[in-house]
Amino acid sequence: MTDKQQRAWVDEHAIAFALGMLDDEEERRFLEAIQNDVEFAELASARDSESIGHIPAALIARWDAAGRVLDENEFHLLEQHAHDCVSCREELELLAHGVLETSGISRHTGGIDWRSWLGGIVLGAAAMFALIMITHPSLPGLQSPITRVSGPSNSKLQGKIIDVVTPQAMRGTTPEPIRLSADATVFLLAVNLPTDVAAGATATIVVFDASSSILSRTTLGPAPWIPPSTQILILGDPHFDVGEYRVELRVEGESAVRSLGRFSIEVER
Amino acid sequence: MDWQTVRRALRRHFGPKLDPADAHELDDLIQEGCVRLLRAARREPVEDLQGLITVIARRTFQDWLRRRYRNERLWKPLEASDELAIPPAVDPRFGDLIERIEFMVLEVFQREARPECEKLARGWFSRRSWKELAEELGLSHAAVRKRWSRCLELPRRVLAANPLLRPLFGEEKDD
Repeated sequence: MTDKQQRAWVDEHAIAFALGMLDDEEERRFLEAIQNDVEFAELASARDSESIGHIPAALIARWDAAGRVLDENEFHLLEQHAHDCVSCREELELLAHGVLETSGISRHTGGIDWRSWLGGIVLGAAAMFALIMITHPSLPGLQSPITRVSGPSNSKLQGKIIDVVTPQAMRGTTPEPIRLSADATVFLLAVNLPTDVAAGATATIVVFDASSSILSRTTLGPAPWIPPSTQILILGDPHFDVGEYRVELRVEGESAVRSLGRFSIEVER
Repeated sequence: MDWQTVRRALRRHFGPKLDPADAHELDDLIQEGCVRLLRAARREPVEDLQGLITVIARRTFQDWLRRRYRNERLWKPLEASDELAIPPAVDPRFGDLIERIEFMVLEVFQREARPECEKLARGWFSRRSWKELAEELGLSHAAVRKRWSRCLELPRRVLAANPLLRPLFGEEKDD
């Protein structure tokens, strides 16, 4: 067998070897063949068992794009794992690929697999506030947004089309009201976090509704939050009141509360 | 950990190594380096952050290069034409194909509550031999291989349902 033939044989049998599907003789042949093979020699080296069974780092790093490219079944397995695995979730949060705080909605909606809806979301990097409005239970049910994100609008999640709207505002104020449909019970709010918080400090994002009642409280891990450091909040209510909503950041050790922004909601009747 | 500093350091490592044609990979490589650093920091306390960043950066870059060629080799034999572009889902940016398949197999075992299969999978994916695994389980070599073969039936069905991966298991692709 020529080198070329041997290389072709290795290529054709690598997946089967990796999955332990070769018989003993083929296995010996494969291991011998890959001894000096730059791409496959690693398959013969012991691996740290702790690193096995977590989402590959390359996929976590490209999570948003992976949600659009990978086979639905494969990504569903990844999503499920991310939902259950604390360390993988922490890594996704570190990279700001969908930091979820479900406590704010669980009392209203219960048991919804939010993460499966979120797999492919890409938030505009420049967005200071990105609001993704969804209605429950009948997706999609979006009303015309005020301003659309140029990039990821009409993001397709799990086969459903949703709109992403971003008020064209610097951090602080949404200039125009967000129009919600009357049956909207949930929307997602993405908030860019400041980079000047002391390292190690924890913080809480608090969202106040139109009547100044606390709608959501989200505790963050210790700063710093690396860019794009976008915290996504899921806000849920049986109905959203018309009026101005406020988002504040309460940083441990800081006496003053930081304002992250305001936005107004109009409800279509 | 000061992630701003980490990202800057990783950028300094990756930037000069990347071919101009791959410059768009820089941010993703930095992200990947951050994930690996976090994983390393979980395993043991970081005493020399700069040293660890250097090691992580080197490994991340080497793995990125390796999986680029490896994925291409895994895919190419299936195609009559060498010029056919690698499909997006096999794009090495999304990780090593073998590592992804191993993850899916393990995840299926976990979802389906197959602890015996999961244990065998973890052992084999750690590159331990069937002989070692058989001894550990107090089974014969043949019995372990048979058990593993049965274990694989379910994940193989799951993997074969993926039109992209199906041909990797010797089955025909969809037209």
